[in-house]
Amino acid sequence: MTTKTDSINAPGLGGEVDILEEQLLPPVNEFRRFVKVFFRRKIVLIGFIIVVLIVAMAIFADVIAPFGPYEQDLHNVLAAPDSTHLLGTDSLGRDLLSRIIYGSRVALSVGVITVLLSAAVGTLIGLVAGYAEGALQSVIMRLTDAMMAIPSLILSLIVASILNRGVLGVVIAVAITLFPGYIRLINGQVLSVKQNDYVMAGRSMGSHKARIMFRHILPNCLSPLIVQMTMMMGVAILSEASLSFLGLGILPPTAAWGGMCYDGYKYLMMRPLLSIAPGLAIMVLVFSFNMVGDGLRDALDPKLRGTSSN
Amino acid sequence: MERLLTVSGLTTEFRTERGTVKAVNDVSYHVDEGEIIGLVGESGCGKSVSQLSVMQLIPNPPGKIVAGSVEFEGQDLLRYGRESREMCAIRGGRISMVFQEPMTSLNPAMTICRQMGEVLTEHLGIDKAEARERSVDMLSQVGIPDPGKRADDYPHQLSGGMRQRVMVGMSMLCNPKMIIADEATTALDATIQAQLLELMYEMVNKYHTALVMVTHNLGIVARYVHRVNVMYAGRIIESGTVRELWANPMHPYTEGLLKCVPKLGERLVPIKGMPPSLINRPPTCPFLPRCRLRQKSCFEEPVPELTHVEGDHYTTCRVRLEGLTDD
Repeated sequence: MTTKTDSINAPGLGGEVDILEEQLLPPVNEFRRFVKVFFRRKIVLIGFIIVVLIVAMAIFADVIAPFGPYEQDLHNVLAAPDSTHLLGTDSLGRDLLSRIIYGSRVALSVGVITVLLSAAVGTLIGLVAGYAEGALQSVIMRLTDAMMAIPSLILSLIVASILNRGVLGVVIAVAITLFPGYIRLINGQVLSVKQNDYVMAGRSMGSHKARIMFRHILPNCLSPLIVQMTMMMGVAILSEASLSFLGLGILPPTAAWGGMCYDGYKYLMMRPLLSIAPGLAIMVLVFSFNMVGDGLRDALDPKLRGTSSN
Repeated sequence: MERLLTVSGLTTEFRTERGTVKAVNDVSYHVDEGEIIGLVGESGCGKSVSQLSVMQLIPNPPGKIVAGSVEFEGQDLLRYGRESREMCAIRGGRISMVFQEPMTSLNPAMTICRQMGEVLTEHLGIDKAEARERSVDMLSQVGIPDPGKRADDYPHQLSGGMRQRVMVGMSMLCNPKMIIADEATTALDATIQAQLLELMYEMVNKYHTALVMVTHNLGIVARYVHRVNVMYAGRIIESGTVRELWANPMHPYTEGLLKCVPKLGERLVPIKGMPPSLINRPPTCPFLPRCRLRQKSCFEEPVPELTHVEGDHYTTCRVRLEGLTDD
């Protein structure tokens, strides 16, 4: 609407032509537009492909991996890379490549579960805070600020040391550092979406609180939520790796990249690949998720819509 | 005709940093069954706030209904909480609203059919298939071409006029007793505006629904409404049938408004000055600073109640009521 009036007011003939062209444009297919903007940057495309490949790797680990994750070759302990063990073996004679392949399962599942858990909890609290406003909102948001002031690694270390070690413990330990971010994000979104006429219209049609919150407000907060979730995948994977590296994460002998970094670190001078390879795997995966998140933000942010920034 | 809605002494305040704004000040009016009334006044005079107060949709804080009663079908609506079950059942079920901005009044994340269906399932508790059937039927009644297909469209796929048709249809879904059209056609261009007014007129006549048309354009309401309430600075300052007001406007503000209706070949006469600030208003007549009839006594006496003139005609202009001038 504004662009139309702008071009009418614009001096000269240019403005008039713009109007005609705008009217002649075929209606934009939202999905096609999304795909176009999303893949416009090469780095996003690369990130997306890597994520897809790693997901495929995790699913088909049994097929792809040359050895099992716990399979020991005691004749070849700490072996250098060769044709059987492409990346060599660790101190217990396990094939490093296979363990990295299996390790993607832990990284992805911990990442996904953590993100879903923290997003669900954070969104719910943020939604209630933003909708309620007043005292309830103040209390929730100040507590959120307090949570965010605690260094996340220390917080997850404390929580992880209290809880049982294992996937669930790690997930909770990491999620607890992530969910305040969602509260803040969704609270802000709700405050702005709430101002929209359709929320008032929904209320005027007799919708009660819950319906207004979950049907009218929440779906219109989804874009930034999806971006945040993708970005937080990287953070969650990194945190899990940190916990595993510090020995409070996934229990050995399960193949987890962070733990593998730690195991390999004792042999850093002799077989640097033992630490570097899982480290690289973490880096590539986190980087890819961040790129995908970046692309999603570009494609979903209405403010950037129609612009052709690179 | 049976009395449907009686609003008496309704007062709504907003707390702001600069003071308390009395957006609606001691407003009383009534609506009969099947009646079409107009609520006219310039921007910021409290038309919308008064209607939102009736529906208890005033955002609180900062707004608050501080006095008055709203009696609808024999029940006092202000007794119910804003979010109470009773109020939710009335909103959309017994009284519904059509808002000004068709472009933003529909949820962009839901299809037309689902939005309409939600209203039906909420109020009538019917299943989804039947809700869809009724929604599509309503869409065809409000003149949406190919309603079966359009029902699955998202709001952004419809034009402004179409969306407002959808809004009108949605407001009629549960066959309410009263519809409040809050500047429902203001945002549309003149031809579409006329079509929509005709449509609303047809619909409310068909279902014998009362209609409150909130507008700043007297010309628009003249053709359709039975009675008009003129609001100024939070108060109803004159009220009467269209004929009475047009033939014999008592309040100088009503006169001014009538001269502001564009007619071909006639010069528009603007009302000089600005509406007053609603913070800490003195009890004198709110139109005083702009009034061309004002007398000394107007500065001293509080503004009179709506006083009966003749027939359905009521006014608050003391000068005219007391015959202080023969102007």
